[in-house]
Amino acid sequence: MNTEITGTQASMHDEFTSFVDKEIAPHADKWDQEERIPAEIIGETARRGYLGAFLPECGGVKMDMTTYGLLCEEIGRGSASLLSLLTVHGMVSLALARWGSEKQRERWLPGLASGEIIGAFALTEPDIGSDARNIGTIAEAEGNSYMLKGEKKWISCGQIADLFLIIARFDGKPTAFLLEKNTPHLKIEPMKGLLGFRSAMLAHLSLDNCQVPSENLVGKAGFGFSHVAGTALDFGRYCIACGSVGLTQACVDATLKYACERKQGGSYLRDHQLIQEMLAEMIAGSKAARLLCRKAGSLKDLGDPESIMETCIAKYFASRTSLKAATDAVQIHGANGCGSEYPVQRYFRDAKILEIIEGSSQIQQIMISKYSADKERRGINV
Amino acid sequence: MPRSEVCLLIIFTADIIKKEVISMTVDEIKKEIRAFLSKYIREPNINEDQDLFASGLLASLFAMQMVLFIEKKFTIKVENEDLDKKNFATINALASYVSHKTSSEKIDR
Repeated sequence: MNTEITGTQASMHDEFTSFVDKEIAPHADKWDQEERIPAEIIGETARRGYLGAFLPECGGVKMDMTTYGLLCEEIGRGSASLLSLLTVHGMVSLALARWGSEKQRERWLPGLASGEIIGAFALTEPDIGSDARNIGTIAEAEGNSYMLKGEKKWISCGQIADLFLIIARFDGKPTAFLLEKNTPHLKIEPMKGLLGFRSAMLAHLSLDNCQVPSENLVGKAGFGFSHVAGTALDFGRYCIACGSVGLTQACVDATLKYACERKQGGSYLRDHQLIQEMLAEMIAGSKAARLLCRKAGSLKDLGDPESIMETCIAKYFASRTSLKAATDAVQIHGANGCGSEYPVQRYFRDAKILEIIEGSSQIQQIMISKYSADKERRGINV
Repeated sequence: MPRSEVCLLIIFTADIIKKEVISMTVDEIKKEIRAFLSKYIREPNINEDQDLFASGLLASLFAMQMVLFIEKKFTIKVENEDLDKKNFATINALASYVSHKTSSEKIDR
């Protein structure tokens, strides 16, 4: 595997780094406190083409997945909440680009690519998280339309989304539908006071017989989970994996700076061996997680079937690494790490969310171990 | 090598692969599918009409892995209108689907 990035990718990476250093990282704590990302920042992210980066047919930048991973890494370094916008918006866009009808693609993708339309992915429900195949939201056919009824919870960017990709059960089969925010009987309630992702503008959706036209069904009935959500979740896991690397890097940066400035017992923290142990773990973890993400991105660019499992592994390792790094970052900062003066408390809260969204660590463990055990039984090297 | 020449080489190579796929027989397609399935399926001697999904032989991620395999190996695009269980459920169904898609492309060419 070639882990080096090309000159073009490096140049794009520099652009992302500069954007995050100037426009995102200095303000992310404020957004966290205000529980919202300013519309101007979302607009600037869209103007730069980052929201529709992989939608070339609609005027997007046509970014390869390795470069998109670099973008997610940098955004994750600045703000996990903004990362969640890229994630869920991308999940909807990609699922639609992949499985939408020509009419749906023509209607929605240009707006999604330019960021004029914000998308949000709605799978999780109050009683259904990891057990996503048993969703409770129901779709019933009525003439040339479907009636959607149910609840969706923890929907990232649900407060600002124009278009939701709803996974519901139609005729007992998982099916994906597009639902516009202005649909009558759709109630969108902001979710506040969360542990992390506070400025990701999460929402609780109540669908009380929301009528959607029949052309809003995405893909085919019965393929809503395996293919439509499957495409979206694979992409989402990749974004979160790369973003986790960025958050880990933010922990490294903040903690190295602090350890080189702060003295205890007459010597800098950097010279205390127990601190060095935590720093070394953090740094080695960030590099290992980055390599897993590069591998997943490279396989995605090749369209390799193994990319799906490699993405699970990258998401699992990178999100866990970010939580460990953030935990140690707070520890090294001591009481200072618990206050709003330093960003590590936000990293800590956001990292916990990274370990839960787009498939919890435990779900990834089940998938990785089962997959590997099956390969072992067939005599294939894991 | 200049970038333009690299691009031409990639296009040329892809064209060769596509021509090879188009000339594949159904049995050759089945052989490729079996080789792919052997990496994922829990049972080595699966019947060509056995339902891959109903038999619980496959992990939940397999549906998308299969799509990626078909697209990469046979250089075809699985479209939303192709989302039909009868295209993907068995080895015979898959071979028939791939054969149909590749011959459609042959006509288009």
